[in-house]
Amino acid sequence: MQNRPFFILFTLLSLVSLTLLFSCDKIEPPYFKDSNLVQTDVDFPDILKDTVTRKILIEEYSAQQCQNCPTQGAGPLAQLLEKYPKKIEVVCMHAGALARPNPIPPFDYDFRTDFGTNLYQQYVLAEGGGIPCAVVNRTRYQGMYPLGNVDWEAAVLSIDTQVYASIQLIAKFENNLLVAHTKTTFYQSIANPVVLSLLLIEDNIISPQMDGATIIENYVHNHVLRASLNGDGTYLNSSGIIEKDSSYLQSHQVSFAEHDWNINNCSLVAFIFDESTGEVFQVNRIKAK
Amino acid sequence: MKRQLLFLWQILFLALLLIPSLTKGQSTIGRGKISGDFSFSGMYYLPDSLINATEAEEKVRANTYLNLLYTNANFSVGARYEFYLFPLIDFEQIGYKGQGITYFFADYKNDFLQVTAGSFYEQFGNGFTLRAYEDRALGIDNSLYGARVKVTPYSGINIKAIWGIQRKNFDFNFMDRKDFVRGGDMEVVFDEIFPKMSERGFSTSVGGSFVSKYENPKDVTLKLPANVGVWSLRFLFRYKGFRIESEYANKINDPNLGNGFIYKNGEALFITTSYSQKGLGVSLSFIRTDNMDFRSQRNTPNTTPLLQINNMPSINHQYTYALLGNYSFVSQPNGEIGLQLQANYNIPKKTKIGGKYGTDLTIHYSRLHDIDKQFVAASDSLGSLKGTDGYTSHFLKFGKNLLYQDIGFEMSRRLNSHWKLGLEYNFLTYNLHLLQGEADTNLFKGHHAGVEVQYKINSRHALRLDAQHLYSKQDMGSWLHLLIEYSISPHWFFSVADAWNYGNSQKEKKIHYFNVAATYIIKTTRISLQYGKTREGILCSGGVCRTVPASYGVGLSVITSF
Repeated sequence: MQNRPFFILFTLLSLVSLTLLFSCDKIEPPYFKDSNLVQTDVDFPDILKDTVTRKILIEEYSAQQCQNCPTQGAGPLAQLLEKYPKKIEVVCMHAGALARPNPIPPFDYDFRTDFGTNLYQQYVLAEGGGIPCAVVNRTRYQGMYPLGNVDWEAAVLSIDTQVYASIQLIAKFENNLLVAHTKTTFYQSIANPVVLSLLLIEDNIISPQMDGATIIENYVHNHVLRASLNGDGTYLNSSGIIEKDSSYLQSHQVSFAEHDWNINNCSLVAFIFDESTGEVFQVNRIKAK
Repeated sequence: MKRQLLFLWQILFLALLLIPSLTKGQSTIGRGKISGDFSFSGMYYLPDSLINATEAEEKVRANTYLNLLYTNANFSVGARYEFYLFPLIDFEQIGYKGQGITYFFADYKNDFLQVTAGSFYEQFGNGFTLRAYEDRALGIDNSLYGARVKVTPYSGINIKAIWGIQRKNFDFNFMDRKDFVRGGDMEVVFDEIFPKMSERGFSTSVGGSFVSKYENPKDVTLKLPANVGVWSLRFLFRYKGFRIESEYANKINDPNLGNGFIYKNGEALFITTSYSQKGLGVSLSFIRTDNMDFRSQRNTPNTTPLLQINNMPSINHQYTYALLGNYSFVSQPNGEIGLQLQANYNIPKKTKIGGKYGTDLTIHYSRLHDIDKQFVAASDSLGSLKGTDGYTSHFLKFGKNLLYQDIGFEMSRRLNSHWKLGLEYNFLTYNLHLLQGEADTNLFKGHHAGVEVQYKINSRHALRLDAQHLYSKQDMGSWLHLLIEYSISPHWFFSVADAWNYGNSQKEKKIHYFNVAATYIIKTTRISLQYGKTREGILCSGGVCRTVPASYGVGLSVITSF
């Protein structure tokens, strides 16, 4: 044991290891990234309350290597959208083990986002759910957040039609930069803090997908979440209390540089939710360009 | 699910079959030895609206685990199966719910090298940089899954290196984890290298460690560090009865949910010194922590021990009194400064004051504050410090908020061969608002006095009486606690206890929390049956705490080792 070469060797190895381990990342200020919160420099048209209806957000959880996702997820969802085109907005998040890309084709593309993975862990994994499934308005239906397609329509119809707010959206795309302007107007007071979430989704993405035992090479993926423009969301006001007839302007931007997103297929989805309960009050969608 | 339940029953059946034979001693396989332990802790829940105890839908819930260890010469392998699918309600509340083989390892060890693959627990120094540990009662298991190497290249020089992913309750989906921990520790024990030092009564060592965690830094708004490191240096010096030990740690910018996503470096200092000679012991400890909460995942709330990589030692006097359990100090890795002084004195036996058998006296005093903070300008109109350096702090300046203070006296004396007496008095000041998040910002002040009398009837039968009184005008008011325990050595223990919240300001809350228990011990097996009520509060061990809901019901526990 008391062997000098061993002693020297391991002391050196330890020093090298410790040096390698000194892998700290010192962040210098400013600590915020180039702000994606920007000035709102557009005028929103007036909106009549009577023309506003409450729309429902469906967050679908899917994966490219999920064999049942086309028939049990995307298919029924398309039918539901066709049936309720003005009532529903859909965001599809690829998450979980079946969404993990392989090192080699055909499933080497990564559709996942941290935003989607976090929600998947919160609303699906932690609730004992599996893919494919969907969460309707971030509320429980019959005690559950993640629902199979047989419950989606009933869950949508179970949500009251009371109109809490309207969300107006204006998108501007210039120099590979998409700026999303929002105006939220409340028709009721809300005691809990309300958070705005602004997402970028893309339709018509051609990429392989498992369907049963077969691989569909040119599968069309729709409503795929690409990015959140404001992280986990931003408060609409500083006090956290929403007064009736109050309006809030907020604008965020996202760069398309270094991404393979097709602006012509992209849309912006904005929704507001109760920070305490998670319930979505209103959702809206516009084409990004 | 059916397969898992079947597997559980197979394990339980196997364990029950093994227990009678295993309790006779360790079993062998080939030249190796097999050992382990089994624990079942179940409860039938009854509703009680007065204490806010809810009825469990499943009626009966239980925590069950089995540890198995096979050792053959220098080689060992081990595994633990846990069945917590329908755990006790306090475990469910902290997310400790699931089942599976949660701990498994293979280990080889000789005088020069120890290597471990799989799960392991480890601590560097006082735990400022790393403390991967478990506490079954608290539902903490911060074990690491990966590899560990320990090398002793020269007697007195110990080097450790670890690399792994931290356990997160029953979420074993490691492929989706975007965080892991790695680190090293080196310690030089001079009196082992130079044996003449210890012959002269000297003992001294120095050590240092570094731990770094990686976590995916993706975030829309903040520039987050992917790698966050903590380093520490420590020393220990001992000469005969005198001992001094210290450790200093520093953490690089680690914006996380617990610190409000500020970028200030963290640091901690711990010093403890003591002197002891026959019949007398004096110790003084000091601690200061600042922004040292260090977790595998930055979005984990700091109200839970989950994914905690390091741990701050608790310096205050550790009480075992039932009525003070709810006022245990909760370590504040993100900001505490304080000291503790304790003196123990044994009045010699066969003296006028000390009596025939001598008398043990203890006095202790602890005071802990939050740290001084001069906040920087907020980053937004909400007053948030997110994305700033947070604050500056004078290192040795106490913050204005008292977190915890206790001053106490304990006396223990054997009166004769049958009777033993213990007396104690403690005055406690406790910040419920800052330590437990209670809305009430008034400091809790409580006077606690207790008497413990043990009467040895004969060589087999003994009686113990423990009476405590907590006087307070704050929180739940005053309490009385009485416990009578009767033991028939070596197998039986019976106890009856009642905690009466007679001083509660609400008449309907002047509740008796009674408990009746019987325990049977045979060799290495302990079987307990208890019936009664548990108050809502906190459960702590060494400054690490979790909340406990009120409960009422019948509990059965079976613990055995083989």
